[in-house]
Amino acid sequence: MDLISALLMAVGAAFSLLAGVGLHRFDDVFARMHAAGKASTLGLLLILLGVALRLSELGPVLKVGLVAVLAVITIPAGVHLIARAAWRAGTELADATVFDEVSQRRFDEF
Amino acid sequence: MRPRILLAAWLLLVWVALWRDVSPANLVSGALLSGVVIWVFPPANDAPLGVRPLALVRFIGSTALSIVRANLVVAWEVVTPSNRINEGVVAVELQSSNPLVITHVSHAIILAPGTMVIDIDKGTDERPTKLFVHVLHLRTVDEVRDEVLELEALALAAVSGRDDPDPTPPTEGGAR
Repeated sequence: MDLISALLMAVGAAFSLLAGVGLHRFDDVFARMHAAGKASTLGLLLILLGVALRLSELGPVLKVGLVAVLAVITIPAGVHLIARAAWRAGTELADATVFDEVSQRRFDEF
Repeated sequence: MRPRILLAAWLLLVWVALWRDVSPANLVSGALLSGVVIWVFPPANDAPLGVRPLALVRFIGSTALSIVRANLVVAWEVVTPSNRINEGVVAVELQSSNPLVITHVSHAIILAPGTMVIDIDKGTDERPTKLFVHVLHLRTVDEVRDEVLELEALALAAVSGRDDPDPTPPTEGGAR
């Protein structure tokens, strides 16, 4: 059990690391938010799962579960708000970004 | 079912989890407290909702799966040196105008691989709500639209407001 838990935590940490590398490597705010929002979610969930496996009582496991649920609810909201702020502020996008007509019109409004 | 009942259940769950103990005293104090909280801060939109438990489980399950897939996609993109990223922004018209459904769909989109909602144009009676979706690996615009509408169908099957069209897989048990 300890081995599985350690393995889960290590893999979770690796995903979090990849999220950080992604933040550095990707071209624009939006691509970076993909890295920050996604790779870190699974990383956190795996670490929490590893922690939960080491706990023997129900109470603390409930609390860890609460952390997981709240993270899954709040991370996308945060990611969306940062991306929306960047979009409305007219941040430069990566050169290769493709728009369809409607979103092009919306982009020109800001 | 009214949103405030679901909200009360959720607050009670948080309370119990924070106390780390499911004792009668915690349940009673939590129920009282969530009643007070909802009385002081009533939910803005308290129109009755249709909740179908089975479809809700399916919606949550598919979202959970997409969290895993999303991570693998992004992680792969980070570790491979070649750059296959082809970013794009696509506007998608939704069927529903219910804020709760829109929230669920946006959430599922952000958790799904390679897609992210960056702006929402809230519709009026004549104009449908539009989501502006940023895509990491754009292939075709229609593909993105289909994916979003599929997620919306799943969300609509799970929760729907009074004005929403009937979901495509008709009532699968559960109260409306």
